[in-house]
Amino acid sequence: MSFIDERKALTREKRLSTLSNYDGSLKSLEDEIGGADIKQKIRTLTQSAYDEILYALQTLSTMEDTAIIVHGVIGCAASVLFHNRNRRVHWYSTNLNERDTILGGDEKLRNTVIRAYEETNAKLIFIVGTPVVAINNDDVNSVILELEDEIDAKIISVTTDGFKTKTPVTGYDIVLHGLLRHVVDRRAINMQEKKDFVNVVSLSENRENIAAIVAILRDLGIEYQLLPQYADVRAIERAGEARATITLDPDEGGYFAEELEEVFGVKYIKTSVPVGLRGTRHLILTLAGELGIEERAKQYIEKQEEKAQSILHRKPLNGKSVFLDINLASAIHFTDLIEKLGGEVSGLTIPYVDLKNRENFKKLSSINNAVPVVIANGQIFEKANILSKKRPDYYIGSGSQVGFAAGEESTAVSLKNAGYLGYSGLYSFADLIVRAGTVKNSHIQKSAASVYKESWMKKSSNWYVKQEVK
Amino acid sequence: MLTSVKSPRNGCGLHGALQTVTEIKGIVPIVHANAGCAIQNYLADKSSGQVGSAVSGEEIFSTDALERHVIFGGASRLREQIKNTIKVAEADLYIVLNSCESAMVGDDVEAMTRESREQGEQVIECLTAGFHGDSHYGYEAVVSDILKKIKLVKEVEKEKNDRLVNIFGVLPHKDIYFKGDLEEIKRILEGIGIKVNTFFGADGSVEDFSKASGAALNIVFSKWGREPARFLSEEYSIPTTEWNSIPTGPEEVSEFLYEISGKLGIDEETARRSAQKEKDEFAYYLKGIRDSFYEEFAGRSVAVVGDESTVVKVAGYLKNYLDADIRIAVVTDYFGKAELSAEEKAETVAGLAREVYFTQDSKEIQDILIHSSVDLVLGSSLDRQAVEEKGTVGLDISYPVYGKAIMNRTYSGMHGALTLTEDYLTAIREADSLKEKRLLEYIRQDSAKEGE
Repeated sequence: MSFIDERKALTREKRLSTLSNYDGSLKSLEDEIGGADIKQKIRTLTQSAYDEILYALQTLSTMEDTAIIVHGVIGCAASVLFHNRNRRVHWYSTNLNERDTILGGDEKLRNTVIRAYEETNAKLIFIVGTPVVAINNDDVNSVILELEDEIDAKIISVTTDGFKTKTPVTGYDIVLHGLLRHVVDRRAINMQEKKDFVNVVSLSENRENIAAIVAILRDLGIEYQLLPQYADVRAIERAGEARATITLDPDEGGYFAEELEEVFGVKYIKTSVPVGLRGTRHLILTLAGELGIEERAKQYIEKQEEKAQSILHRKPLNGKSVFLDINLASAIHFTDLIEKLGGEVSGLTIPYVDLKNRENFKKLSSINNAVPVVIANGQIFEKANILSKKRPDYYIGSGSQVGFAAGEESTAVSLKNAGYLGYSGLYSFADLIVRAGTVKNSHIQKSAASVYKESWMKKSSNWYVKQEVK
Repeated sequence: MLTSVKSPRNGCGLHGALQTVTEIKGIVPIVHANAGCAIQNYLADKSSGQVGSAVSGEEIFSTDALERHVIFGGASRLREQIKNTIKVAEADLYIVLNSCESAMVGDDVEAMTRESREQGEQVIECLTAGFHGDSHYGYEAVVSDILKKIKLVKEVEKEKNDRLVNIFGVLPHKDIYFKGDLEEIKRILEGIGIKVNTFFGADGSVEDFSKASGAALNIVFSKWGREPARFLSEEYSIPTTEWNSIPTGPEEVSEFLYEISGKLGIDEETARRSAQKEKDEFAYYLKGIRDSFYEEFAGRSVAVVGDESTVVKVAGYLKNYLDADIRIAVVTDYFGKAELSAEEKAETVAGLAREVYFTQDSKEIQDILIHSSVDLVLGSSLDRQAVEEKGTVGLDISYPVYGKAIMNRTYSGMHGALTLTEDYLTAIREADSLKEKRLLEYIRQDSAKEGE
């Protein structure tokens, strides 16, 4: 069923019964989510965490030809300072004050849209919703209606609010929904023959990882366009003309790929997250099969895998236990990679599980099903509790803050800016592990003193995870 | 009416409060907001080279309020969160900070913290809804509230210590060199036997707040420090001395030493000796660059962008000591509860620059800078980006600072004046080598034309 005619993207909870709070064993989780629906849980103690506004801002900041208007109080635009470090982002705050929270900020919004249009060359102007305008029910759409004939740029409402979902990845859906509805050229719907290029959907992959995948596509001579990251408006407009779509992380980009398939007839090729030899091979072979270049692809893979053997033989994780904190889709092949490098996954943290990605747990069969599993967006206090008891040799995390693990005497490895996708990722990940091992017991580790009480560390880590009562 | 802001450099009231409390050892903040409020600030601070030294980002406890808390109220969620945070996190003081969301919903935050206090827990609150003001206001509000409410949960100092002073108006993170600045203030004052309550930095902690009532003097270094000082003056009769910026340069440090020792009844000889030592040390270093100063550095034109106290400090020093021509000064913290009248504005920065502007809008600032012809822009990275294409060189003095890690560097006092001199001269040499390159390009282009 397509969602393209809906005014807003649904939250992940509504669309897929997404569960963001859990703490137990792999076995107990599988029992918990095996039914027709997934029961919601809550935490009665929480720490700050990314919300869908932050995810939407991050994605919008990586796109070309855009201006972002954060419609709210000035602080709601603060994180864009971070995204603006390495590239120029055009962003504005409507800078609402106390009076506007009572009387509404429509006039300010109107002025800011006009201003953004006049000051930038933006072809797309995004209006990002925040708690204040959501609570006040400010009428963003009537401002858009009024201005869309006046200015020569598309104005798109990003219907985030910061409190209707526990799953920040909903922010990606909201942005992608806006692009599907307003930017992707609908003339492509009836196109008889699609063009000879592939959409590569990327939302959260870092620079190193994108470079690794781009290198593979180039080596194989596959025409592609990356989106929405690094995309200009033209790339998004012609997404419907592509021969096929792949996503670097199906949990993030799947929404876009499915809609492109259903509405625009662009085939969605379901590939693995290209982690390790197995994940990368799966992505290349599946894509090559679709494009009719299997032979070339097989030769390429053979050559690359032969080169990679030397790394695998070295086994930098030999005999080590690893606590892995990463998206479920990536965890499958990451687990395999860790095992190939000689290590063993002794604990797992993922941000969410839902009706769609839950089948991935079957692919984690090599992990002992008694290992602890936490489902959380952030919530370091709970992860620290488990680490203090399990004492894994390594904590490998993709989140913003892995330093706490050092405080619990694990070797902390951050995947935030590290490459781990594709073939070059294999080398850089192995290097990262070797280097991280030498940081153990260093001064920076000792500086990471725990803020948590001893008594908490002795409690069961799932103390504050409860069944939701509606 | 406040207008829209392009590339805002200031966060909201909650962010300012967080920038402040996450730098106080022993405090654990409990944010009553939706999940992302504290992370917005964390990312902004992270881009600027420093996050909270005590707690930061995803470590910060937060109610992560959801739709049901907006509709039915979030007070009971807050109660649960306070109770559980106390069980899990080690702290000398817990402080609840609220947000736009909880303020609009009307949650009774005070009732929740009072309830915890009645059970003997050390919990206070500060109402920091983002729409009340920007990050500067957040500092002012949270420091004032801790001083006001700490007596509800802790013994505060009743004995007067006639050698203890409180330092206000140096804003964590917003003053990008606040740690180094506080260390330098401390060094200077310790030189005449004074103990310093810095509240933040390597030696600051919650304890400073309970000792503050016993101080003999409040020293305020920016307008944002007035409110906490005013409270202590009224409540504990502690006199206040206000400076419009941290004294920077040997003359300023000397004047500061005489003034403070006078107020604390320290004999003039001690102040004189200390001032002389600072002056001698400064002179020694300046001697080493004297010839280059006349040949390369004198009379350079600069623009200075930042918070009022920073602009006053940097522009004043460069003008008085390094003969800089301050063409432009842009003040970026002119608003909020401490909003100045036009006359007050003119007075603060009078005589500092040829042209003075008051704006926090990065586009307006860019337009001002692009149409000027200065050798050097001293400001935030946003201001440096604005003149990058022109090839103008810059120096980091304001928030945010990209591409730099900051520990205890300072541009204040006497040691800071030396570092500022170092960096200023380095930047000018960089500007000159760029000019040389451009000249060469022009000449090459002209020669190529003739050859055609």
